[in-house]
Amino acid sequence: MANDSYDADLIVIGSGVMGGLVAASLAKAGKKVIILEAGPRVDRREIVETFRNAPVKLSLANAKLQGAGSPFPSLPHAPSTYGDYLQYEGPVKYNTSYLRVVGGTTWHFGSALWRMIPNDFKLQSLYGRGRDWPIGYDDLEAYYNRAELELGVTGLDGQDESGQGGGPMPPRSMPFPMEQLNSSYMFKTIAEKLSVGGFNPVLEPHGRASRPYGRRPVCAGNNNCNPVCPIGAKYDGSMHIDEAERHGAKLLDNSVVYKIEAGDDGKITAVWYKRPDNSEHKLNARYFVLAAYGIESAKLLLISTSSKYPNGIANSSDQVGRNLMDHTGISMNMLTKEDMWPGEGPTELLVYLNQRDGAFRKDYPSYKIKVRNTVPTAQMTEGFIKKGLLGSKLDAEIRKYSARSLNWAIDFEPLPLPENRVTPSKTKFDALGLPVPVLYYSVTDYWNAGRDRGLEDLNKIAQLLDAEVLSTDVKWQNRQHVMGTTRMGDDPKDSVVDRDCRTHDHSNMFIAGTSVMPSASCMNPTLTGAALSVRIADTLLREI
Amino acid sequence: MTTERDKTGSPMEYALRRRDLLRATVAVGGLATLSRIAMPVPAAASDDEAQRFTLLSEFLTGYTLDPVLGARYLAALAKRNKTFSSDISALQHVVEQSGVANMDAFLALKLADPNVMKTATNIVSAWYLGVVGEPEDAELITYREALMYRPTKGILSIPTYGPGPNGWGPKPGSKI
Repeated sequence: MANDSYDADLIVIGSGVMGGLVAASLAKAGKKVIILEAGPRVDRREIVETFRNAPVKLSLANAKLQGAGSPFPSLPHAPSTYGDYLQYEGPVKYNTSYLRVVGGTTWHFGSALWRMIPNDFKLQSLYGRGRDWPIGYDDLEAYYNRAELELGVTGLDGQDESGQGGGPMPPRSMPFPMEQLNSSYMFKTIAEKLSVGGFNPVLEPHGRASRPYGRRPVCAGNNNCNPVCPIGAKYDGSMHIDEAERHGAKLLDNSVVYKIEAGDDGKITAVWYKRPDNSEHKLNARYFVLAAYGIESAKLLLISTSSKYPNGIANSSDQVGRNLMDHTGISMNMLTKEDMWPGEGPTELLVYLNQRDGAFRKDYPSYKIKVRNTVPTAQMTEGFIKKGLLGSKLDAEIRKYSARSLNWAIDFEPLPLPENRVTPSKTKFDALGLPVPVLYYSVTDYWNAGRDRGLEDLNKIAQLLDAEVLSTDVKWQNRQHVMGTTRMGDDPKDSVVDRDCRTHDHSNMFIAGTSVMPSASCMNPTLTGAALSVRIADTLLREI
Repeated sequence: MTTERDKTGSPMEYALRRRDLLRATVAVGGLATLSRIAMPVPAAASDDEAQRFTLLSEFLTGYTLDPVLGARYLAALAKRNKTFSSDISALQHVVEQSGVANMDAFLALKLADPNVMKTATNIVSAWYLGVVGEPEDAELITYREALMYRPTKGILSIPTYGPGPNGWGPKPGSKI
């Protein structure tokens, strides 16, 4: 327990899923926990009403309008990333969007919760690409179990998630906490038609309840997982923050951390935060967990400079902010000749993982193919009217394209590149005077080779479905999967945190989140980040 | 904030009375009223004007429409376009002159000049998208009642208004 000289046993910076898991675990064990969140608390009902009443919805978002397209608040001290908050450099625009609110970005995530497979941890030694992890699948398996229980994962037992149509993969010592939801008509129809061509369907494991789970009701197919589940059937980080608070953790919202201080012995001594009125406050604690998302966490470390730490906190390796990754992707729209009806049920995905693993990874990246299951009406109608369609023809086209237009997308495994990075802006500042993040991003010929191989698959899929290709987009679509900016490794010279997610430079500070991932696989990283966060909590419970 | 506990004579109650009146009038009026449409609509549209606009919109879209929404669409469109009242008068005139029974027949005649068709398209766009204006000044009139969701009603949900647990799976009974 904290004695009088500490404000808390543990300060957690960031109130998303990663920080929430750690905070809830420590609070339940009776530790004194303070959580600092830059943004405000939000209320689900208000967010749903804001969404329904918004003239510009996500799918129609005009990126130039600050905050437009997202029902979550944009405040001067915590600006929305929908708009011009993030600055872009480099050949590829890294136009991600995360949320700065209590509960974090999982409020608007699609809730895909995948495990990595064993070979994903050994990319360099198996295929001569990227980096190996200092730990392997076996080290994480028990933590994947616990993360799945914490987040309430729904999945299909026995699937080969390596996409080869074989036995269960990866190895699991526990069944999924909840059974998979029933498949939509589109899933069943596509699975049947593509199996002829050797494509093995895999149903995505995800965070929607298929039975009452804790305080969550069963998914009702509202098809609005992004930007907000109207009924709280889908997991989001606010659930662990609520749990932490029920066990005595203190949450300070609208509290923007702008400086982390370390003493001469390397231990972190304090964090400084600003309130919206620009007043400055200081807190100290025995331990610190930085869980502010891969972009804000890196920015905060880099701006925490001092004479002893001229490169910022935890940055003796100069790797903080570097190796920024995303599952940069492509997509193809196609029109089938019979009705498929995408958009039934939740926005869960049917995926194809034939190219998830194999010797090819030395030549081109692993990738995931997915077919979107989102009600498409709003995206198409404006275009039809602009084309001059009126009368019964307008309705006929809306109906036809709603039933038959499929959006296929591919997510590729990126390589960690030191030049792809987050830096604090030297010229643009938010209302508190803090620099906004600048994101430099690029891809290599490795990605290009994946793009070409992926396009072959998409064209083959169009053939198997007897579909007409309507459009193809190979312009580096951002998948909002931020990874790599505080990477894990055994060598303090080329990594930021060790295998326990403890910063090499500061023994009482850990980094929680997908930013610690040294390689990315081609799968959504949230569950891996969550498993690592559960593991951090165990370490902290042993030490505090 | 207006609440349902507002007392007699409150804006809420007035709005409800006006809503009933508008709906009742349109119900008995029908297309016959369309031929009696008066000339220029002032900026602050009267109930009569809202009813006429709604009837014109019913012709343009082929749907039975809510006159309360019609009044709101009319106000939002007129606010953004100074010539809107004369524009719809011109459109109404062409529609009346054509003497056709529905929008498909009207389109087949290819009578209208581009400006008149632009007015028709703007009105249809508003009712279908539920939104009036450009992103910078866009105004939502209705989400759930936007006409674009009608052609797939009963098959696809309007996001946030789902079918309930396990309300999907079998082949949707549909023909195109």
